[in-house]
Amino acid sequence: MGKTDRKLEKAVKMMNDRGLDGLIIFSRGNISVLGPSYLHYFAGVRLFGRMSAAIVTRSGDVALLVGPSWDAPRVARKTWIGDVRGTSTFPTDVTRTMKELGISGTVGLVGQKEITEEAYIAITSVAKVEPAEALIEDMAREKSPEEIEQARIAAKIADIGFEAFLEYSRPGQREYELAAEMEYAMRLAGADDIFILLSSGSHNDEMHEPMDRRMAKGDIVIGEITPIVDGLFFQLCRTVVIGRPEPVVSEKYDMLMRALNDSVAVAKPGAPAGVISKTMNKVISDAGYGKYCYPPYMRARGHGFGVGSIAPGGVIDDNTAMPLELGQVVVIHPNQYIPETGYLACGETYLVTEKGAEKLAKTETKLYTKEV
Amino acid sequence: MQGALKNGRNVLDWINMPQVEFDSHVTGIREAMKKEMLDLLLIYGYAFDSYGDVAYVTNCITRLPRGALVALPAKGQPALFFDGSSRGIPSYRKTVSDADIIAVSDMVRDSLKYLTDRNLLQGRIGMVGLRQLMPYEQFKALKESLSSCTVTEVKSVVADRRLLKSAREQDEIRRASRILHEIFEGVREFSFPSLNEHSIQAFLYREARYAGAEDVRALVGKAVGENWYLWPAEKKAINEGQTVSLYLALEFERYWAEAARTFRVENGSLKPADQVLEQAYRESAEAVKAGETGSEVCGSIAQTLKSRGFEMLTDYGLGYGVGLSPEEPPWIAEGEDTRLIEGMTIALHLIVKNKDAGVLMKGETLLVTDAAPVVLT
Repeated sequence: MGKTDRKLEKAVKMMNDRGLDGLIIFSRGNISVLGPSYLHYFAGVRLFGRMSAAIVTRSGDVALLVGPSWDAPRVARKTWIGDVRGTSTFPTDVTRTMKELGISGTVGLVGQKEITEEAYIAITSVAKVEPAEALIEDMAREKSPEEIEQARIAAKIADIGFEAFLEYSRPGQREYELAAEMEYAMRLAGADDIFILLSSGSHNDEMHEPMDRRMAKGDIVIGEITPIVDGLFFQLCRTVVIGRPEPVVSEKYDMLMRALNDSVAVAKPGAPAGVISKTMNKVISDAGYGKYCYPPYMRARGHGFGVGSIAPGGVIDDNTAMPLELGQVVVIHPNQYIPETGYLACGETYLVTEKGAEKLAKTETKLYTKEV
Repeated sequence: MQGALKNGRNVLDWINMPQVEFDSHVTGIREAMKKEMLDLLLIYGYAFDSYGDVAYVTNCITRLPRGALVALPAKGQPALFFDGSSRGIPSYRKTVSDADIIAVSDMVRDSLKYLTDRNLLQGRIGMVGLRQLMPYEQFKALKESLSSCTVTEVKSVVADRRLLKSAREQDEIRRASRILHEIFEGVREFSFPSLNEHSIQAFLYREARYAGAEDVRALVGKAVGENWYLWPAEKKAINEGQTVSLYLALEFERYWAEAARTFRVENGSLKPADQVLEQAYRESAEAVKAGETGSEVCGSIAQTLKSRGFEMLTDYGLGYGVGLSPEEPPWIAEGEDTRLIEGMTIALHLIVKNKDAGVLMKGETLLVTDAAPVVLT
């Protein structure tokens, strides 16, 4: 039995345990850095259309509706699901398919936060629905060796993205040109999508999409370098100073490095993820910046990455109770606004192992300087 | 084909799109609101492709799979609510026209509180895009919260205005189109380190980003056995002598354009292979003129291509309007009865087959006139 069959087997078992007559895994075609892609995980392929869904019966029959219909051949080539149907009229097709597969009663609906009225009404015209995101989350929390290898591949691509970030952070280069070079390097290395936030200036307030600004000597350039490989995000948060950094910048960055190292040291299987945030915030608070550790200045101190589950969650803060588990891929980032320096970026993505958090990227975590 | 984030240049260029442009959009919408006797209009946008109505009023785009809502009262400043934290407000201020900007963690709760506090939830309220785009859980909560108000759906209040592009909007689409033209000129000269779908896609993205594209969509078209497919780049080699079509759409300062070209691999480079379709494309595009319906254009093109000995492949459609959305009305398709008007912008792509040339794809962005369209790409 292949790994994909095991997904179906697990889904059917969970549906039967919960007394569900069917399962609908809906996708709106978006992927989010702070959320799972349930249908991508289940079907093993990224869907792009505004309405697609896998429809699963409790006996294990499964059909995949793909919008736009012209994308069905690509999806059929990549998914383990044998019954792939293109759709250009999703509401009609989902009701027809549910009836054809004999689904009625109560179905689990995955993708409740995305689904629009038209699709929801169509599904509920055939069956009652219950939220079922937890079903895929539970399934996806256990990471396969292939998924862990995928994280290692993404780490290599992120390192390549960082090298471009360092090379092209230079006087005269515009922010959007810097992003272009980072994206180019990472796509060439095999990333199929990219997420880049950055900012440049002597005092940054936040990271944002690149603007027209030309970088200059003395700038602090901050960036979130995030390639996506087959649906998995991987992130490095880095700071480069163009020219010699002011002593205060080096001093504050050292403090963030201590916050990172201390929080990584407590990131072990079984520990509540919130301990990462508490440990980090203590170092920063002890340095006199306690109020800047919390909204409106800062909120998340990290988050999980994964295709079907981003456990321990999209926000790791002091209150995150979910425990860290083996195989989780987690970014830990004491990115911090500091009044004297502005926003500084510092963060790495780790794999949770029995020995603790394993840094996956090879490039060093430090304050980088660019001689000019 | 939506990405994880709009990674490119994010600006409001006040020379290209001054406040007076947004004022004129708002004035037009308010005139339509008056006809509908609306006291307040709620306009919703979501994610990477469906931000157009919101941007038309404010220049705001949704850069993540999140929502944005504009509340436009009959008089006074519009309010823009975006899903996100208040830390994002400074960058919104740099890229949004005159509006009150509010970060929300719960779109329905927070926006309704704002509107209630200002006594704006009164009289007749129009909705644009909420039913179609807002996640159902939120939409249901909104509907319930507005149950004591008179609420009506008025999609056309904004959509009708967006059909026809102003001179400034045409110029933005012209700029986006010029980037496409230059990329396709440049791709023939580029020496690829290794020729495969990923390396070509990476090149297209870099050139687009360098020219200021905010969002990019690229697809590769290739024959596989008897069939021909268009799909996102994969880790696949492109071999000497192979024919490959490239579809590229990009967004520049919120406005989209698209184009497609077909190349043949010769000595490791991409050489144009769609000249044989050049004349047929030009004749086909002549059908895209003011006064024709989308359906009539479709019929004319089918006739033209048949007379030129091409079989038309229709799985990927023929065309649509292009502007603040990558695909928007009017549709160039059978049964579409919207008449084209001078000043509309249309993306028209032809995918054809003949026994000598195989499958070829060619696409352009066109500006509709009373005569033959102006090719912008």
